[in-house]
Amino acid sequence: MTMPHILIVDDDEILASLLQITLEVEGYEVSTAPDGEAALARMAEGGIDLVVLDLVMPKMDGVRFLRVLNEQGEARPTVIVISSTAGNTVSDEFRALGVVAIARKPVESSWLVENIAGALGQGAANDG
Amino acid sequence: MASLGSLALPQKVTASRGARVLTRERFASVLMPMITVILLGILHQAQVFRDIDGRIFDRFAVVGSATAPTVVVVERDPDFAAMGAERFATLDRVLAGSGIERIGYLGSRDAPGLGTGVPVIIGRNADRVPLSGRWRFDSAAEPGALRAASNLAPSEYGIQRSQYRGLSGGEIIMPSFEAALAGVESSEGEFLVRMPRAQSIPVIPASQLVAGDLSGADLAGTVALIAKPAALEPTLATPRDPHMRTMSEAIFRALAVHDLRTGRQVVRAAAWNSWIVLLAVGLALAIAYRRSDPKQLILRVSIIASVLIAAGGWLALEFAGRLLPLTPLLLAPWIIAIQRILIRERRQDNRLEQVAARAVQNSVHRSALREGARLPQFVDPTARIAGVEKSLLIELTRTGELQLVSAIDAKLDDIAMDFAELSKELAKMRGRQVGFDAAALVPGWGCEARLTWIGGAERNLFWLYAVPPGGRSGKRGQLVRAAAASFRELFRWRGDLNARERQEERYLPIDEKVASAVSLVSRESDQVRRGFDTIDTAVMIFHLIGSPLHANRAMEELYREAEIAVNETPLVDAIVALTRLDVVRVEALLQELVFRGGEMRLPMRQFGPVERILRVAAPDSMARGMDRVIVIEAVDITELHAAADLRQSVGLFIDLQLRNDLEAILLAADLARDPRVGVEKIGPIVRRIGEAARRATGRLDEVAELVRGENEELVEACYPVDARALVLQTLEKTAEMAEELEVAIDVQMPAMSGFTIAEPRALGDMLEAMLRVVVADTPQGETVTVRLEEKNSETQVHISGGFGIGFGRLVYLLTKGEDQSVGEYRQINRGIVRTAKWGGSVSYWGREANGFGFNVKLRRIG
Repeated sequence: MTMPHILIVDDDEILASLLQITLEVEGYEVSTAPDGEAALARMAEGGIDLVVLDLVMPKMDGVRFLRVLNEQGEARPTVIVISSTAGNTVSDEFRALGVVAIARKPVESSWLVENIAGALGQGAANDG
Repeated sequence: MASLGSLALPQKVTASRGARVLTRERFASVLMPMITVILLGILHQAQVFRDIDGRIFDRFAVVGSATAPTVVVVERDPDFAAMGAERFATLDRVLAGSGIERIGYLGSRDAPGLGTGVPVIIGRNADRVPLSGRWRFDSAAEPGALRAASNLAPSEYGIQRSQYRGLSGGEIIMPSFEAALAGVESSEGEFLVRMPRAQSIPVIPASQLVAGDLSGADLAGTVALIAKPAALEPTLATPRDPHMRTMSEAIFRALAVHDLRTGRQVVRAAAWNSWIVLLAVGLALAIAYRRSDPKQLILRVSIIASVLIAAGGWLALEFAGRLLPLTPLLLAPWIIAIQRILIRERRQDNRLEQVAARAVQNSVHRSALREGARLPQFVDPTARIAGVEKSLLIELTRTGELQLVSAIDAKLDDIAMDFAELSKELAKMRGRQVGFDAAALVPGWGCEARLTWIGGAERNLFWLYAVPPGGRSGKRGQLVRAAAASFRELFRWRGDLNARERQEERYLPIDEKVASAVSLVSRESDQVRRGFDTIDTAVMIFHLIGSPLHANRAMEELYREAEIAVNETPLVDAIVALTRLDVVRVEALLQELVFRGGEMRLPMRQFGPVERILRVAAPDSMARGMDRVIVIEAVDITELHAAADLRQSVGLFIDLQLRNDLEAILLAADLARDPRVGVEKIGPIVRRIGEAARRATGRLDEVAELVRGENEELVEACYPVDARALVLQTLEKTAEMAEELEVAIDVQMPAMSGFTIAEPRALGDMLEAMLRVVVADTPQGETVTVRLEEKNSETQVHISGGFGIGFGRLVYLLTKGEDQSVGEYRQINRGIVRTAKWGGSVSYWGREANGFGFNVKLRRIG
C-alpha cells in the first residue's frame, strides 16, 4: 500500500526537518520546500496528497502559493496551514483555496497528526 | 464662531461694583458744581466780588443807550452871582415859566426864592449820628422849599457810581436830593447810576436864563438842578469815557436824577435772588458738563455758558434794572470745568496708577526681581555665563558705607582705593548709563576691569567686573554690558513704578510711571514672544471670546499650512481647520472646557510629515472669570508614534519568530519522547533543539541590539518593520496624485511579508518621494510599477516607470547636495544616505524615453 505523500512548505529549515521526522514516524512519505516557488515546482512533479504550509516565506508567500495553485486548475491537494501569523479558524478565502485546517504556531504534534489523518481520510473518502 | 460670550460667566460682582462707581460718579458730577456755586455765592455775599461786579456794571452802563435828557443843570455862574438879591426869585420865575417840573438847589440859596408853585428842593448834607446807622438833618429850612439830603454815597475803591435813594433818620426816611428832585418815592438804600457815554445832560448858565437869552430852550417837563460852579468841577473819579478820568458832581447827580425819572436806575439783586440764580446756573452747568466730554468739549461749553450768562446779566440789567452776581456767575463755568478736568485727570491718574501697579505685579514681581536682595542670584550666574573672571557686586548704603553683596573670585580688599574716597566717586556715578574703565581701581586683577552702576531706586548697586583677555573677550564684554543695561532698565522701571509705595521724596508724574510700565511690559512681552518662538511646540493663546492674542512662530507656520490667517481666525474656526472636527462638536467641547477648566486633546490633521495632537487648555479659574485665556498647543507626537511603532514591530517580530522556534522545540521534544523514533535519530533531534534555542536567543539579542542601538554595523536606529505595510502606506499617500495625473500603478507584492530592517518613517518618506517622482514623469494613461520582493535575507522594493530621465541627469539631481536638491529628489537623497546606515542600499537607473526606476534593497531577518 502506498502511503500518502505530504509536502512541507516552510522557510524555517529546522522546523521543516522536525516536521518531516514527525510525519515520517507516522508513516507518511514527506518532502520539503523552502518557499512557494519551490513548492510549486515540487507540486508540478505530482504525487503530493497533502501540503503543510507556512504563510510568511521569501520569494513566494503561502497565500500567493495557494492562489497560483488554484489558478493552475489542476487537482488540488489538501492543505493544512500552520503559521505564526494565522488565526485558528479557516476563513472563507482560505477554504476556497483548499485549506482544511489552520493553526497558529506553536502546534502540538498530536494536533497536526490528527488533522493530517483526518484530512487524508476525508480526501480518500471524497476520492472513493 | 462659537458664541462664548453667551456663557454664564460670573460678572455679577464686577457689574455691581461698576454700578456703584457709576452712581458715585453721577452724584459727584452734580454735587461738585453745586458746592462750587454755593462757595461762590458765599463769597458774593461777603462782597468779595462787589468791585468786579461794579466794573462789569460800568462796562455795560457806559455803552448803554441814551435817552432824551430829563434834567437840566443850571450853573450859578459868576454873572448870576453878581446879580441882585432878586436873582433867585427871577430864576425861579423863569424856570417855572419854561415848564420845569421841579427845581433843585444843590446847597442853600444866598437869597430867598419865589413861590411859583413849582416844587423847590434844597439839598443839604445830613450828618451821620455817631455809633448808629441813622442820620440827623438840619432842621432849618427855607420857606416854600423841600429839604433833601445831598450826601454822596461813598465811593467804592475810587469809583463813584452809586447814590443814596434815601437816608434813615430813625422814624422817617429823608429822601436824597436826587430822589426828591426826581419826584420818586423815598426809600432807604442805594441805587447804581447809569452813565451811558452817549447820555447828554444840558448845562445852562443861570445868568443867561435870568437874562432871557435862552427863551427858545424847551425845558418843559424837565427838572432843573441848580449848582454852584464848584459842583461843575470834575471832582468825582467816575469816568464815562476811557479818556475822561473824572466827572463833575453836578453831572453825576443829574445822571442819577435822570435814571430815577426814567426808571432806569439799577439795584443789586437781592440775596435770595442771587442764590436762586447761582443754584440754577450751577445745576444747569452740572447737567451740561455731565453730558459732555470734559477734555474735548469743556472749552466750548464754558464759552457758551459764559456768553449766555453775560447775555442774561445784560438783559436783567437793561430791562429789570437788576445787577446780578455776574462775577460768580461768570466764574462758575470755568471753575466747574477746571474742576471736572482735574477730577477726570485724577481719576485717570488713579486708573493709570492701577495699570502701572498691575504691570509691576505681572512683570517685576513675576520676574523674581521684586526684592533687591535677590539681585545677586541673577548677577552672579549672568557673570559666570558671560565668562566674567572676577566680579564684585557692591552696595553703597544710604549712610555712605560700602557693602559687599556678592563676589566671584574677588574680595573688597582687591580695591586699591580708600573706601571713603571710593564712596564719593560711586555716589557721582549713580544714574550713569555707561561703565568706566576700572583697571586702576583693582590693579591686582591684571585684566581689563570695568565698573558700572546697575541700579536701582531702592538699592544703590555697582558692579565691578573683569573679562579675561582672549579671542572672545569682545563678545564677552558686549554680553556683560548688555546684562548690566538690562539690570539698570529693570531697576529703573521698577523704581519708577514703586515710587509711591516708597513715598519717595521726589514726585514722579503718572505719565513717567506709565511710560515705565509700558516699557517694562513691552520688553517682557517681547521676551516672552521671543521665548515662545524658540520652542518647537506650536502654541497659540486666545482670549476667552475666541479672538487670537498671540501665536508663536511654529504655530504661525502651522496656520500657513492649514491656510488660515493667524490674526483673524477665531478659536473655533482655528480648531476646526487644525482638526477633523466639525463646528458643533468643537463648540460643545469648548463649552465644557471653559466651564470646567483643564484641558482636552484632539486628533489633528496631518501637516507635513509630523504627527500632532491638539491640546486645548483653559485655566481652572476661568469659570470664575479670572484668567480669560484659552491656549492651544500642537504637540508633536511623531516620536511617541515612532516609539509605539517600534514597540509594536519588536513585539510582533519576537512573537512571530519565537513561535517558530518554540514550535521546533516542541516538535523535537515530542519526537525525543516517542518510542517509535530510533536511537540513531535522537542525536540529530536534540541538536535541532539546541539550534532552535540558540536561534531564539540570537534573535532576541539582535532585536535588543537594534532597540538599544548597539549594533556597530548599523549607525542609525532601525527596527524590524513590515515592508508590505510600508509600501501600502506609500501607495495610499500617492494614490490621489496618480489619479489626478491619470497614471496607473501596477503593484506586485506578496500577500504577507516578513521583517525588514529599516527606520520606517525614513523608508516610507523615501519610497513616497520615489513614487511621486516616477508618477510625475509618467505620461497620462501609462503605468508605474511597484514591486515588493522578499528573498531569503533581503527585501527589495522596485519602483519604475515614467518617460525617462537620462542617467547623468538623474545622478545630478540626486547627488548635487542637500542644499541644492529640490523637493522629492532631496528626500530620496536623504533616504539613500540613511538606507546605507541600516545595512541596505539603493540603486537607480534611467534613460530618456525608456523610463527610470529605483531599486531599494534592505536586510530581511525573518
